[in-house]
Amino acid sequence: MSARGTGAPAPDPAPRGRGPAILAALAVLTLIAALLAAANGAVDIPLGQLARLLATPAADLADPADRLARNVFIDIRLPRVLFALLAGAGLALCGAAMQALFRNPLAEPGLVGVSAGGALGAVAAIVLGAGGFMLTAVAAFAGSLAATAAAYALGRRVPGVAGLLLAGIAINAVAGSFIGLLTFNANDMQLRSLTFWSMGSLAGAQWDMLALLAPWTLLWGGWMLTQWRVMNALLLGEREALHLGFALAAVRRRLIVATALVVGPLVAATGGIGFIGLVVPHLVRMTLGANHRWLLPASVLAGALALVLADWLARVLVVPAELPIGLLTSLVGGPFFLWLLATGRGRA
Amino acid sequence: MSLAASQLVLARGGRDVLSDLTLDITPGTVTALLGANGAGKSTLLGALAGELAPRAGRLSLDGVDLQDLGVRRLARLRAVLPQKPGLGFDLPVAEVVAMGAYPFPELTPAEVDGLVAQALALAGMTEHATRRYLALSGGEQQRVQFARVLAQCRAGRQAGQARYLLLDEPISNLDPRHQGELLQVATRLAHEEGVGVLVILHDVNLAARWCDRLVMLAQGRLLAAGPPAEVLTSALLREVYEVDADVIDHPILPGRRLVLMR
Repeated sequence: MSARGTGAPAPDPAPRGRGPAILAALAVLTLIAALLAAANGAVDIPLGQLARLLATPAADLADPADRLARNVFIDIRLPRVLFALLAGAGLALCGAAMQALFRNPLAEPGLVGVSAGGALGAVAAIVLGAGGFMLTAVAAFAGSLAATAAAYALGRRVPGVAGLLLAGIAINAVAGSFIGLLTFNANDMQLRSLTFWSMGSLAGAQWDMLALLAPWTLLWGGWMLTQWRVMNALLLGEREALHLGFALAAVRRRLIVATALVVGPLVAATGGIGFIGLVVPHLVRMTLGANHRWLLPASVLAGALALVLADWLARVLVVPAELPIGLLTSLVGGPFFLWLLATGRGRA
Repeated sequence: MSLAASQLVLARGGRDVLSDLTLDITPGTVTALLGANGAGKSTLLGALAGELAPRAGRLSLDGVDLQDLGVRRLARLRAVLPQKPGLGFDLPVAEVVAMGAYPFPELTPAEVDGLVAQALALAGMTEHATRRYLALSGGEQQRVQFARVLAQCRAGRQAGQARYLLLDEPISNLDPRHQGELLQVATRLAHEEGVGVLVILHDVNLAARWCDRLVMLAQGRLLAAGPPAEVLTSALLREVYEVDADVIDHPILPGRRLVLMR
């Protein structure tokens, strides 16, 4: 209905006009934030010189400071900023999808076990295995998929979405208790690693990892963007969505699989980054309305923007050290969540 | 052509809610489904909507088994208005009505806009098109949902194609004026556009006034079906509702009946 051509007899100015405008504004903001974040940090890269630095091959740069700036930008900042964009977008998009699926603004991807399963996999790799980024990431991804599959398999025995919700809560609790058990058995070194893992970081961002993750995330995320109709229909209710021609069991399965496939690798590569998937879609809905045609792409952009800003802050607040990004997102997201509950806006 | 149940047996929670029920919803007619609470009206509507699988008997739409049609095809042929439709998050009214066009992705945006405008006009909700759904009163929300199923029922229709509209207590929250208007729209849809309408009602007089055919249900069985003038008798009303009522000729509308509860 929104963004349809002119000549519509029924006036619908608000969503029609505002959707594309807000998307455009978000895109511009995200681009600016990404540029600033890439330029700013322990090594400052003057934005005015960026074009010259990038156009010149490293070997031709006479000034060692220029060479350093170029290398920092291309090998460290750029992949990291791109990764922040990707992770923020994926988390927020899946959050919006889960909020639609559960018809609840307080839902988030972690609800179906994808985060807790990932954390359990990572902690197991650190405590029982050798640790290291690769092994931890693979174990975390495997844990995400296993936990989500278990939640889905158990949840489908109860009709409607309630079974999935209960199974997700139970899986989260079980994963949490195993994490506790492993933590209890960990030595000091392992404790330090798993604590840092659970607080999240984008420091692992590298070009080869991006080459793998970006197409994968864009593929599943892109598919999810096409599902705005069924997410709108679900707002009416499960029966009504069925009457409108959406096969619910299949829809539910596909949305959960896509969420696990998008969020699983992101959790694996970043560790615990909370609240982006919960707060960002909620904020977007409050600004833009619940029409998923706009809500989904706006969540993508706003999530990317939020995580780029959070990662930037994480890098520059305590230079030369670095704050764990999950700490920052929770620091902002936690109180916001409480505010939603306290003011009753959670149901809006 | 019809939306039909034949010798339908349907169980819910291990109990037969409908037994040996045969019913035809034919294009161009409005059928009212009446019966006491728990008689199986909503279950029958759910079965005809393709939501509930029968234990025995057959459900078909224009000769094809409902289960063979699939939810997507079914959504293009019939629309359903359930008893208590809600909305999880707030949307503009026009957006809710536009959902009626979701089963028809081939429609152009302009066609959808036209469809939505017509449906809103039929439901008397044109002025409310830009309002938020959750800010409306219960009755207004019900009329928005009615507009949504009207849009679905009329979207992308080819000449000669039958369409069906199933309404479960669509007037329960409406004031007397809008009750009559909604039923009048349903009747016009049937008589002028050839839609087959099934509507669950509790008001016998409204059913007798607006519907071509009454179907009386009691304990999951079909007690009577036919034109109001033939079906409505004191004896039948006693059997269906356990009430004492007189049925007289309508003093103003020729050929219609009037039921007076004692």
